Amino acid sequence: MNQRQRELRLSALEIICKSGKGHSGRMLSSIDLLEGLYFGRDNERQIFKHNPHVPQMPDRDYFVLSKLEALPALYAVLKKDGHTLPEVLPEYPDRKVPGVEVTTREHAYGLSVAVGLAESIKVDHKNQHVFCLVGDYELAHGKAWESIMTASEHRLDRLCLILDENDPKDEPIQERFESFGWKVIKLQDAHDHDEIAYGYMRARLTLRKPTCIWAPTKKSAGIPFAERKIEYDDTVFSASEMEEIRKILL
Amino acid sequence: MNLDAKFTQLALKIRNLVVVDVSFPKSPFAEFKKLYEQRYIYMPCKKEMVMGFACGIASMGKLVVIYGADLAMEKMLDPTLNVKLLKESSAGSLESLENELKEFGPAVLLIPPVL
Repeated sequence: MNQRQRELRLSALEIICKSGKGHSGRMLSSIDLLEGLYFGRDNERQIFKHNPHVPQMPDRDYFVLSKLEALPALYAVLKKDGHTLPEVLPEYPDRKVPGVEVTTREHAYGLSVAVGLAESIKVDHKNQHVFCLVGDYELAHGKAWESIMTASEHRLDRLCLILDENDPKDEPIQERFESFGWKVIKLQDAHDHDEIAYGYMRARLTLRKPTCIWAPTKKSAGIPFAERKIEYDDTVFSASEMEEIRKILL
Repeated sequence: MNLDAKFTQLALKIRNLVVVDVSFPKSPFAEFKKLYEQRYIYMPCKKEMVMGFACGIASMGKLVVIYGADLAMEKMLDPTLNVKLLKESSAGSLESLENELKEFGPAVLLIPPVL
């Protein structure tokens, strides 16, 4: 774990503690995927094209957060990246917040919006990409599969779905996506910055089909006493636990 | 004038108009599809994801019209996007359609029943 990943963990957990509600364990499984996206570099060039000082930059790439539990992680990443965030942060993703592209309150809704964005990019022949973070539980929704099917039917190669699988159930994810015509890139270590960034770079190069980055993650990753413990999935860490986390991370 | 002809005519004036059609089995937009292939998206029966999909397209500055889905406008989670829902009703009219389409924001537009 690099220094930035540690700082982001602490920052995201502080956001959860401040709001008094959140899903700490589930959020921590996604934070490195977001860190890799926003801070990943390919020969000093951004993998995810964006400018925190001009959030509405016309030729930017899009990031869509479909996994709602990871919102504090996104806020922490945006803050670290240099975006100016409001004092009071909305409980759900809202386009009014600089750097947040889609307003959503429903599971799997973000994925269908991401497919729409990728469709528009394709029709307009623009050089942009759409990245969408999806939780594994969202694949239980019908609209997720409708979106997955539409993306491959329309050959949306500018779409990259990041699947955060923090609750492995031995489901044939690779076979399912490939049978729908997707390219699947499986990360061996879904918390390693370099591997994550390399995965995104490969996704950008895919032609004629959408890409799924399959990331088998760990809940509460980076917090040894809570890692993969179900009781920490949806909790807010107490003051004493936060003190211990500070000692571990800093 | 029928719905297809009306939309084909309107597409000339409204350059960012996109039609998302989820009707099944028969689509009433044959002429529109022929002339504006890039602005017509046919995805039969995909009623669950159509609202999000339309919002994604509208996020890029387009005016999106959904046909064939019996959806409630509340399903649209972002009121700042230009997505219109066509609903068949005996009270509907094609006369006012152009003005209704030009008004910004989400709305349900009533059209006469398509035979």
